[in-house]
Amino acid sequence: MEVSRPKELVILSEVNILQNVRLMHRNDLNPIYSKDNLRVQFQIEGQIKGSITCYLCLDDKELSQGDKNYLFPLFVESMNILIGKQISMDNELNSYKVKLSPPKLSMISKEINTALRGSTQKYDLEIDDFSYDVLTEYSLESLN
Amino acid sequence: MNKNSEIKVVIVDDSDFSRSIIRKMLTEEGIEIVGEASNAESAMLVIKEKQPNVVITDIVMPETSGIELTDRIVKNFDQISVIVISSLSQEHVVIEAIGAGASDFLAKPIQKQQLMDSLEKIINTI
Repeated sequence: MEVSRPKELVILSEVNILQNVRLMHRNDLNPIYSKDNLRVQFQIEGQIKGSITCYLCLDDKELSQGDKNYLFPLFVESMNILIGKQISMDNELNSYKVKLSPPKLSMISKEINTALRGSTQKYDLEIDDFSYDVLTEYSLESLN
Repeated sequence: MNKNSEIKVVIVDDSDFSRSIIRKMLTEEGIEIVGEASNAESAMLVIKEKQPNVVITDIVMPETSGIELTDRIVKNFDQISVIVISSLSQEHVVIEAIGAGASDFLAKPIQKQQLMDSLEKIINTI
């Protein structure tokens, strides 16, 4: 069975990491094009196998080293929380016993155009007055 | 005397960011952090040296998981309580954590009140 896209969960519309950091789900249909991004990948093992890749789009953002030192670990932990919650709270995914790998971070940008991808979910990572596009892609396969 | 000042905690998580959040929550409440570790092997050394009352550990870490670490702590240090934290909170994960000997399980993102309630239960047994 292919599990290409978990159900969109109302409860995940907003994930608070810290008081001033929110991760908001977006329902807009506008495609995102990014060629400057950071990505983190989680491997899934158990009754579902595959990977979940998350992108933090940095196009047109000017970040100091201090900004990066704060933002990048925050992004990784936010994705860890998001993915864990999606698996734990989705009725279908929650029925499978799975293990999540530690995150694997890549600083090498990848060109993304969500208009060409069917299984991408969009989020806004909001920190104080700044907002970043975040994309998640699922490539999962049930072994049952 | 404030009971929080009697408690000594070790934090184990491979995420610096996650450790910093927990550290901030605990120090705001006057709880002493006696050590931190980013993996299970380092954690065992820190625990042996610092002899905390409580270890707070993440599950997903490279090589050895927090569940296995909990099992080792419980078998080697019977006076130490373990609080397991994880972004994955499926029933089987919680059962594994409690089965390994954890005193409590908290789902990420950690809420300060939840963490303090969990510690209070442990403090009351010391």
